[in-house]
Amino acid sequence: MNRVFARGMRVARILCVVAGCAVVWPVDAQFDEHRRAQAHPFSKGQAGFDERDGEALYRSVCQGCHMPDGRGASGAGTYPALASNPKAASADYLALVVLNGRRNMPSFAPSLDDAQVAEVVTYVRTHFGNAYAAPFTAAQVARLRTPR
Amino acid sequence: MYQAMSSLGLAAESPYRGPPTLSGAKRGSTVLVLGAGMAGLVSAYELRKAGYRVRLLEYNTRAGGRSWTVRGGDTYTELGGETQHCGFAKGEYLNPGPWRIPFHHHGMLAYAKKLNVALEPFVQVNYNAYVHSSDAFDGKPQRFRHVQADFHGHVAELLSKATSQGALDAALTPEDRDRLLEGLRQWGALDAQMRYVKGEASSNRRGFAVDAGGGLQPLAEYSEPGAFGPLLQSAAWRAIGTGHDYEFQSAIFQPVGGMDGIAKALAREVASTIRFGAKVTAIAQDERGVTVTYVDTANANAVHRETAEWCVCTIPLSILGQMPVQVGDAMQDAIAAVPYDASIKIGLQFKRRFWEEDDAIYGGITYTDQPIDRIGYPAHSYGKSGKSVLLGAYAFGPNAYEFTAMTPAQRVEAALEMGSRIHPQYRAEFDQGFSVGWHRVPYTMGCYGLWSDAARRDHYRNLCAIDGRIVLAGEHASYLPAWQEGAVLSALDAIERLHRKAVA
Repeated sequence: MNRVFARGMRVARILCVVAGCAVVWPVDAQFDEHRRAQAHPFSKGQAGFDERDGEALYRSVCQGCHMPDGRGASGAGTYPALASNPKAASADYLALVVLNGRRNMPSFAPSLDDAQVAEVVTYVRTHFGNAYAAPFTAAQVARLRTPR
Repeated sequence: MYQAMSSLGLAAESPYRGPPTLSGAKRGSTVLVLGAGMAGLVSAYELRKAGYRVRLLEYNTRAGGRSWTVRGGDTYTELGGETQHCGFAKGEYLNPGPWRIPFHHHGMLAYAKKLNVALEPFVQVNYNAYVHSSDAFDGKPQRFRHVQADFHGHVAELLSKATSQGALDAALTPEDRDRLLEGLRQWGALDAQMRYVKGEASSNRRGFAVDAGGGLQPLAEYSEPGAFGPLLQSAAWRAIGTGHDYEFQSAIFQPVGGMDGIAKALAREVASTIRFGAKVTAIAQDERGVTVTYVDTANANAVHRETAEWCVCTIPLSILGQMPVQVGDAMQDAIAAVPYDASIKIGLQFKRRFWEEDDAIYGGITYTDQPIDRIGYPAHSYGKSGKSVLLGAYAFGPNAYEFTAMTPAQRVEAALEMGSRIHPQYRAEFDQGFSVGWHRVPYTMGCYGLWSDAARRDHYRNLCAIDGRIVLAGEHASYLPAWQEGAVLSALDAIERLHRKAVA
């Protein structure tokens, strides 16, 4: 475990747990609709992500790498596009990548529950030029989880 | 040699063994080094000194990699295309990556010394900085010295009561019990009756309500310690432990002028070997040598090949794992086994050093339970008038992903919003901001190699072992992930092993 970073995380995590971490951003009275449209909520604590629905999860997590339009990006290496990606045909494949990570992508199994994984996979499968309407559920995610 | 090192105190505890011993290199033998971060620069510098002909390919148009300092005039385009133009004042900067060098990172300190890079103290613990818990103390930040003195004081008083009431009689002899009580009195700043109360002892730790003055100025007044219950409930005490950790203990350093100073000094030494703007696309080898294919970042149609007898590859695994690399399955599997972590840093420039002028905070770190995690104050140029940059956020975990997913403008806005709950001056004094979310950095696509224990067990040795004519190096090939020292030690170990093979 990386101790450099673990220090900061531990402090933040424990502060958050005990203090209830009532960070609701932004809360000041002056903030306007424009800023609200731009605002991303933050998760409280370090254990996992608080966002529940697929779009919020995509906007708060996935788009950091796969980008707001789902087209990925290229520098020295590449983040694959999720837009019009034939692999999105398999909900199981997407869910397994989210759960287990893949190469440089970290595993989200510890930080997303089954319902969140189902939500975000469904969101990707029904947006960015992907049109796979078949519902994908938390129960289907649960059977893909590697026992820990 | 060993005796000399022992007298320097190095041999006993540090894996750093001084400059590498690379004697007897075959004349004209060639090495291709990939990546001009700390690991690549150290490799090129030492191999060239040993007599190898070295060529270094670097993706960026600057050396240093993650050992990076952003200053006024710099432009940075993150993945996704957002471009930030930094307008920081002269002498002000943000270190988006590493920002401190512990006293036991002997490799980094040795290169700083050898290349005359001036160091200055990094301030890890500042007793007058804040600890902030959103739901405690009405949301008001507490001075670190108050939190620490009160926590130690109350703990010492409780423990002394337990000791005096016989609770530790089974564990301690009567003589040691007395010694413990005296130790608690000193450690906790208790009074003669073993109480942590308002008075000289506690105020000598936590500070005074009115400081001592001169002439006919008002007399000093003791300050009132806070109650234990609210302090325990606030969890603010969690922040007082960080500076005790080996990695952050004093003395701890930073290069004067920015963290990239050491990398830049190494790069000057090997300047003639570096080709910038070279994006490596494939690495092949056979029994005679290594062939690396690369394109110019300025012109992707310009495909080049470079050959050498040996290759030291320091390309982050996040990038390396995406190109054909002609190594065995064991190393292939190792390259694919290490994800890269998220991290975010945000630099905020303000019109003046209000943290110094208004709050008497000179360097150091304020901790908060908000997503920004902390505020780092510049540990240089104290008392300077005019604009200055502080670290407005440094987060890992879920909040780092969330920050990274935002636009640079949104990140700065969020950091201002949260920081202004600690420093109300934020909004009025703000000038400009600059943010780096490490998953959006084109040349690393992540902050550092996030090894799991299982991956270490299955793949670490295979990652580090020489495969034919290729050896990997970098923080990802060390047990000091994300630290520059890990990159340095990894490089020294890799080139020593490669050299032994080359001369065998």
